Amino acid sequence: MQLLTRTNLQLAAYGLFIVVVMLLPFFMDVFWLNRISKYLVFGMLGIAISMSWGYAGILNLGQGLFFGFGAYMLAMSLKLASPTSLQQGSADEPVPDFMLWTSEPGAPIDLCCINQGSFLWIPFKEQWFGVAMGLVMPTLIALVLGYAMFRARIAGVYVAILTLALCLLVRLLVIDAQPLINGFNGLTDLGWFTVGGLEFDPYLVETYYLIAVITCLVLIGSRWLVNTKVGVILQAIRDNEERVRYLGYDVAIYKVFFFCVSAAIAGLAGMLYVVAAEFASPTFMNIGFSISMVVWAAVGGRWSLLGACLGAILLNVVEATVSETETLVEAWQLIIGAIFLFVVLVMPRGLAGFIQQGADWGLDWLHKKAGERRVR
Amino acid sequence: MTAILEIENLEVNFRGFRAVDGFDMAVEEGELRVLIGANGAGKTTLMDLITGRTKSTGGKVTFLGDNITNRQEHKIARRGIGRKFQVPSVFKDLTVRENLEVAYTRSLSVWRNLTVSAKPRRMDQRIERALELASLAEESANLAGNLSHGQTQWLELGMVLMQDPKLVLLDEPTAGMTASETEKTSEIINGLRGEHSIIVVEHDMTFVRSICEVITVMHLGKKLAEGTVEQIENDRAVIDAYLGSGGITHA
Repeated sequence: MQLLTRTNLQLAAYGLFIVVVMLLPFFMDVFWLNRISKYLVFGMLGIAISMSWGYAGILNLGQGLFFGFGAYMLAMSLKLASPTSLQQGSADEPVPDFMLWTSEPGAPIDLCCINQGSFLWIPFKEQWFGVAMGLVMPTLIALVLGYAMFRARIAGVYVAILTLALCLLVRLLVIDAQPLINGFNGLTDLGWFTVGGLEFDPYLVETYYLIAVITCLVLIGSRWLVNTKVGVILQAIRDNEERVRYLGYDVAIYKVFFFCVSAAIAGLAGMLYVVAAEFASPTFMNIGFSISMVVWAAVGGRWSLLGACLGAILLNVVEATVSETETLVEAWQLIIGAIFLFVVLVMPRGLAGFIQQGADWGLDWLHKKAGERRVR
Repeated sequence: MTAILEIENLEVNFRGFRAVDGFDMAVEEGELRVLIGANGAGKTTLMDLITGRTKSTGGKVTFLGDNITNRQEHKIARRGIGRKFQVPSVFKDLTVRENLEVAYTRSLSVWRNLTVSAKPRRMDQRIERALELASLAEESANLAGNLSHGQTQWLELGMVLMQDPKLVLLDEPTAGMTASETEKTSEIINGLRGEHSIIVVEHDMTFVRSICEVITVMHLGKKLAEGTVEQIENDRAVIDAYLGSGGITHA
């Protein structure tokens, strides 16, 4: 009988996490649920970072690019579904308010030609087109970017610099695109995400469950992915890329694959964030935000999907509580920084690695005990 | 017997320095060929050229009738050339068994491997055999990073075997080994004979004698001599080239 094994303990931790997430609505009001659902979205970003950084060794400092793309794609659809947009055009031909503010005098009030790029919005009248694009666009960008980088064997810090620069570049383009996507102000005043008549108002328990269930599915799916042979090959690549190559594997393709999966998760997270927060803005592509994601994963433990996910949630809860405590209002960033330093210095494998190590010791001790008893 | 690997007039020019300079060699199917030469003779560079790690600037490598000169590394590996590096290179963060699983390349595609579990319940027979051959059966659940130097070398040999290549390139498989470890290694290599064609780069002449059929001597990127151990040891050109370093037996 070997119930207490490392794998079983890990599975128990995943199970516990899912149960807790599912039971939270019984203990919290909708205000906190809305907050937690945003943190769960950040948890998904932690998973995405763990997958690319922890498992594939690709430090992406521009994950916000994928998050932002996902967010904007859905936000465009929801913007068209908002009452203001519907009023300004007609029920069939909605037009976003900001397009009117910047349109030339006499321009027709119609998506086809109110300004030069507005026709791009037409397919977004269908909400599911926005959802599909929110997954397809980040994946496509990751595919092209990843293929170019990994074929050329760009690795390590150069990947970090490239992704960071690209994220900043796109942020500038977004800010510059005032007529098309309201530039610096982003997309606000959105309609609700609707499935079969059910409107996902962010302050509904249903909305929390939408986000919670998807987060748990992403967690389970990622765990499954890294437990296939592909996951092991990926860890082998992180360990010794050259060796893998001489076994006949096309290393670049494996990296591109995981880069794309990570991007798709970030895109999905971006969409869910829009559902919970009701806006999309170029701040999603701020460098600070992308670096925060890496910090969450580092604190939680980047070699553990669950760890990185929890790291994101915990740090955000700490941030929220500390920044709202009056005496600490000035110092909360310092406190987050201190936590980061402490964890990185004392537990280089993050909280998850630290707990894992403790559990390993416990298991060894138990097994030794059991062995002694058998001898007696 | 037909030649499995043919190298014709191979050359690589590193900004004016020709590490390999008009080198010719043919290896027959099932043959065990030893490649010797002083440091800087171009042995490792030659291995790099065959496996596509370094791109040649002239000449041709033919493997099983295909021109494989300057192809991508993984394509050459897929064609059937396995390689053991000079510095033992295994996956330190994976267990011994996982190392062998990764090397067991039943399928190389991402999609196909998504359907394969990382921890199959049943251990594959071939993996068991490789564990046995490398004397690592007891270590199969341990991290490869915790193995001794000799064990690491054997694990890498086991990995190359899992890959089941038609031609195996071994770069100094006994480097840094004790006498008994060396003996065990020559046993492993002798066991591979016949099933695989092998090219071994080696300095240790005792080891060379224990495994060798034909030796090719490299000097300054060129082929200096080729023949049996006796022929090589009495070859005038070889003795001249090695003078000052104490003769070939101590090279």
